[in-house]
Amino acid sequence: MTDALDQLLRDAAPIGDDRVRALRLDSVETELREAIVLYGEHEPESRPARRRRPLHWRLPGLAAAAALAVAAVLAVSLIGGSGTSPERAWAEPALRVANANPRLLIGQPGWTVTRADEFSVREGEMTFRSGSRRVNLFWRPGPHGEWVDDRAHSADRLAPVDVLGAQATVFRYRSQNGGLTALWRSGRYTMELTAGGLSAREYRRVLRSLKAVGVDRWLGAMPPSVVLPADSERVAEAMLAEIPRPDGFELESQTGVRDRYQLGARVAGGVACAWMEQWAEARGAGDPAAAAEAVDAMRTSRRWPILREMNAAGDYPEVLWELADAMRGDPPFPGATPDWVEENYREGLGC
Amino acid sequence: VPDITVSMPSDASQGTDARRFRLLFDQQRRAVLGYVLRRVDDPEDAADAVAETFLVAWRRLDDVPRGDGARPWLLGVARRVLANQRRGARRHTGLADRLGRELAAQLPTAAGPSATDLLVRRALESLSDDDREILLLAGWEGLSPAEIAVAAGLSGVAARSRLHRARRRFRAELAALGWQADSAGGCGATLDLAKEHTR
Repeated sequence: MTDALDQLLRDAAPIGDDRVRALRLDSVETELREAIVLYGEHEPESRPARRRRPLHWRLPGLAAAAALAVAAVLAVSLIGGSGTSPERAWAEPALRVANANPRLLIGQPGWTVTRADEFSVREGEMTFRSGSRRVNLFWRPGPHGEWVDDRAHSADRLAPVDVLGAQATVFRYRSQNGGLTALWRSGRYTMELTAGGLSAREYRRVLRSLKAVGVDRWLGAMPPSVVLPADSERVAEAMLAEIPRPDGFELESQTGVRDRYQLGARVAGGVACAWMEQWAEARGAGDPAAAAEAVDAMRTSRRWPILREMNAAGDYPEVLWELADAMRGDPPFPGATPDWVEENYREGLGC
Repeated sequence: VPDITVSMPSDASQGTDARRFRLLFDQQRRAVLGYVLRRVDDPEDAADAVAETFLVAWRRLDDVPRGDGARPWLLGVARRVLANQRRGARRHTGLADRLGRELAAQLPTAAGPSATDLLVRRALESLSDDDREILLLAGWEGLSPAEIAVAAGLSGVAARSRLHRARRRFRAELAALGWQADSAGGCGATLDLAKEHTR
């Protein structure tokens, strides 16, 4: 069934790979490739810095933010370790990023950082949410004036707003559902706060409430907490405590650093995979008792504490519960038959 | 027109990095171009996005995974470049002008989409942006869940569960529009278009 969907999608693609490959673009692509090598910025961070060539053509943000997963940046977040504060020690890469960047948070209650997965020492972005409202904060090096000119092409200027001692130029886009954006200087950075779904008044309140915070507070606001390697086994055991497991079930060793959501998926998913495997084998072998035992165990999954905790942060529990419902013949959507469960549970749960 | 003041090639154009970048570009140029062409209509926008994606790759060459991991990494960059374009952060470097003109000349004027295509597009439009992109990374780009995780900046667990959810929602939307998968659950599928889509 999945194959049929994929085929349907492939057929509806505006242009297929065969047609893309058949385009006669070799010479212009080679020209582009060589222009990038000649004129593009190229300073691998792991090597000694090269002398920077003048690149007057470089428009702001030409080098768009390439992802540096914050999970990797925030590689270790120790409670009680030695470091820059009595409370916390942060991984050196995280400190390096935090010390280099403007560390802003929204001062109004209810706003939290929900995404910060694209930043480096050079530039970055993060998302704040409050209920259904969302704003994105960007910081980038580059000539401030060119950013402002760029926005002015497609947006109308509104009255400026003072942000942390600087004057922010505020725009409302003529398209994009009237989204709002504001640009201001902060040291060598051009800052930008974009918003959709906020009234101009709300947006101005958020802008004015931005505050600069210290390294600890900024890193501490990042989502979600990580589980230390040394704690992983203990935390995993605690997660397992309330979950019925098949006979002989053993959790794989939990090594590495991950947040509770990822660890929870490994633990709850590991148990669910084991139950579903038993169920699938029992169906094939005509062993109704073993199949029923698995169905009954999975029926309890809506009460598994770790899944209830994870449910606020992501979709993994929802997927698992749908499979559990479908395997006992209570389809959560049309077509979710037990056969469908057998075909899909490994991909859905990552078994 | 960019104000390019560099008059001489630097040593960077001849070294090991340049060789590696050229190989990367040559191997992945059409994958990136295909990704972009499937998501934007304007050939100039597409050309700019390709240029900017590879500019990022050149700048961050140390971060580009070697081997099979390069393609999802590049598509992840292209995804963000297109997102920036949509946010109005479109930049025109001039580097890809000729590519844009060639694309405009060579891309045929699209024939009207078939009834099936329209159905699929309607179902896709009803998904959230995130669900749609994850579904298309699998369906159009052929990425595995692990590769989708790289391209979409997700964990492997999240990519799998979101792909699963996106497929389920897409399927439900299609069903609501009249599509029926083969009830045997195999690869076959029938398209029983609702009357209003065929008229």
